[in-house]
Amino acid sequence: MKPLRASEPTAVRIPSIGVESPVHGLGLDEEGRLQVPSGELYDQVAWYDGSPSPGEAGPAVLEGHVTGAGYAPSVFFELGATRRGDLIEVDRADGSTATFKVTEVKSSPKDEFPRVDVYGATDGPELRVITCGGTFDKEAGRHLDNVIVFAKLVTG
Amino acid sequence: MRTSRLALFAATAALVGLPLAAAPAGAADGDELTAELTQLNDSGASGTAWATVDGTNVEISLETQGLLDGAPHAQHIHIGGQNTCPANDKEGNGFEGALQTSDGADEYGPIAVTLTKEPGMTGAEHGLDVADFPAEASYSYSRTIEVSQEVAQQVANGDGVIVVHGVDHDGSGEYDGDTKSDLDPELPSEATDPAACGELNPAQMAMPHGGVETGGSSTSGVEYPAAIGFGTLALALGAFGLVAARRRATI
Ligand SMILES: [Cu+2]
Repeated sequence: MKPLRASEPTAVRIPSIGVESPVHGLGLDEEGRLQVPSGELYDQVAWYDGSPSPGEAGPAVLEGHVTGAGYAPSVFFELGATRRGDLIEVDRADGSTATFKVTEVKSSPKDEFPRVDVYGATDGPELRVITCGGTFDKEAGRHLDNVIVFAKLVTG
Repeated sequence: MRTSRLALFAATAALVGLPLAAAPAGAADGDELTAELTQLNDSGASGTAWATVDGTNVEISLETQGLLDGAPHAQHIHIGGQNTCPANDKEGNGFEGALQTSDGADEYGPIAVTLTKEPGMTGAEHGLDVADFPAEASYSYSRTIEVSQEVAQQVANGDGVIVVHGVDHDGSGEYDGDTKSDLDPELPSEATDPAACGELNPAQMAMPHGGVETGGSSTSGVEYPAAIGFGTLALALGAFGLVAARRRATI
């Protein structure tokens, strides 16, 4: 697929799991970790604004919470149910929509996060959609795994 | 057999002699490069590589899987040729058409840096210091290596190709067989045939560190109580709330 021009994402839809959300930009904290949606935007999808915009060459990175307070489902509660071949549509500020097709769904312990697979260089336009999953460690107050959906641009 | 080895080193010399042509836009100092290692010779090996260039220091790490266990895996940054990897199904002059190292030189060029473990030597002429390489089926390798200015520039530009060697073609569990290595006739070809290859390309972002804390209560701090209120509200409003929010955001 030919890459699209840079244009920030505004909304994302994953019809197979009923996800529809606006998208806002987030950066890294002082330790170089990806910031996560908070406050009023807690239940919305975020785009890592240091990554390519969806449709540009390289892996565009989207993330969202799996649950909120008291295990209430958040925007990516069903992300782990995504399957290869599912479509992900991303609306962009220039009015275009970049459509991606899921190539792989991975679950990985956070302390063995596949950094190169997820954020490393790609030839064409790709998408990474990340949330949490796996066992919830009550003592540490966190999920032990990340669920990562890998997708490639099919139309833009 | 010697001659192909000499040819490889001669090519290195020729490369170093070249003036630094106007380089294509590549990574600047401190930018990250990554490679996805895929199998050659149907070895079943795979992995990833990561590197960053700081002046003439190249920091590099490799994660590999699926290699022959208990046998040394020569590993290098190759530079030259087309700075690419041959296809897995490309055949060569080895055992039953196996690809030998020099058979892939058109694609990945000669050895530029040898990725030995500390305190092994890292120059191209140490490319077969077998005692200094990892020897497991799966391993993590990490080292910072001082290189020439030319090599540092070439790696930063995305010209480096990682090649991991050592393939047990006949499944005997060790490097053996009658075919001699094209790099050193003292070694069986299995010891030096390429097993995995990946092109080091500049990452298209500053890569985040660690996993992503997108769980529930993993978000602690001041904003959390607010999130509880909003989360409840969002649940009550359901899809309608999200659609409304979306309109606001896109106007
Ligand atoms: Cu090599």
